Amino acid sequence: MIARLTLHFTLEDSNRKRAEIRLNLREDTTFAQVSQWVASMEAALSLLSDCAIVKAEAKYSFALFGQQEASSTSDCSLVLYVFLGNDTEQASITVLSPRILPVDVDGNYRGFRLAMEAFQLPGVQSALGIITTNTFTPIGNSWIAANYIGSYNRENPS
Amino acid sequence: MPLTRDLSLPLQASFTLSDNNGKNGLMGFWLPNALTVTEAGTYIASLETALIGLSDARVERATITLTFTQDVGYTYIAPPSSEVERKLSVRFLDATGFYGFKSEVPSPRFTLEVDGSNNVPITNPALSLFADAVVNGPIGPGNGGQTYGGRDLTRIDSAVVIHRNRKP
Repeated sequence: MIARLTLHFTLEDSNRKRAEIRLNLREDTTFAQVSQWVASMEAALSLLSDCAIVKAEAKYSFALFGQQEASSTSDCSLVLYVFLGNDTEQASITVLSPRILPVDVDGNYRGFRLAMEAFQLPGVQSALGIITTNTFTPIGNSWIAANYIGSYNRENPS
Repeated sequence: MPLTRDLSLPLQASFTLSDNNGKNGLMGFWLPNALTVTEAGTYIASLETALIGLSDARVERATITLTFTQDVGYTYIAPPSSEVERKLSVRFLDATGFYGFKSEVPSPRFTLEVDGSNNVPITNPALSLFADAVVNGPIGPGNGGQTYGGRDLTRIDSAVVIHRNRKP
């Protein structure tokens, strides 16, 4: 399933300009082995270059083969904000070209009301359940609650 | 100072979705940091299912990124002569000698150049260490760097100092 693994090093010169050096690794390289790779490459690069070595990133790319509907358009997005219970941290999930379109509404706060309707749809609830169960907030906390305070952008929902 | 991965932070995962007009959108998620590669693949599959339920765009690619950074106290200051446009272009080859991979190291140390030549001897100790790190890696032969087509790199071919923004 992993199509490619690349290791990127970011180096910086005295003018704070940055450049990247990249290396392809075997796809079966483990996370622990990546740490070993970073250490050995950093040691070798530090002898070869004058630059400061400021960052390394290992990127595992997975090739996916999802279907694409003819109606899909990035002009339309559904933004859902997911909150922690105490409101101290929040993150948004922006869904490109939402599959499930709620019945359109007119009038004030249209985006808010559309997002509220979309949030209540069973398909959206199910998908959000998978996401909030399997992922964390950006600083590593578990999600406590999802909320619909968000926007739904589309000029002419079909 | 060594680059380290902050294990208190979650793993970063991003999905690329493409619509019928060829436009792309990115969605980011954060996964448990203690996952193995295989376990992370299971999470990716699960999130892919959720995204297919939410979007009618194609869920095209997922990427998990492990980030290694310097400690807050890292103070290395590059010498004034350093410039990233000046590169050491190092070419590696696979066992057949037909397929290669080029790596460009920014701002190579001036001590690498001998007698004003742009060609750096592949026997240079610092270059040899770099070549060994790329070809053999920390695990050993057969587990080193690869070409874009997935062929193992087996040896260094050449190393030349070039300058990206300077006319010859």
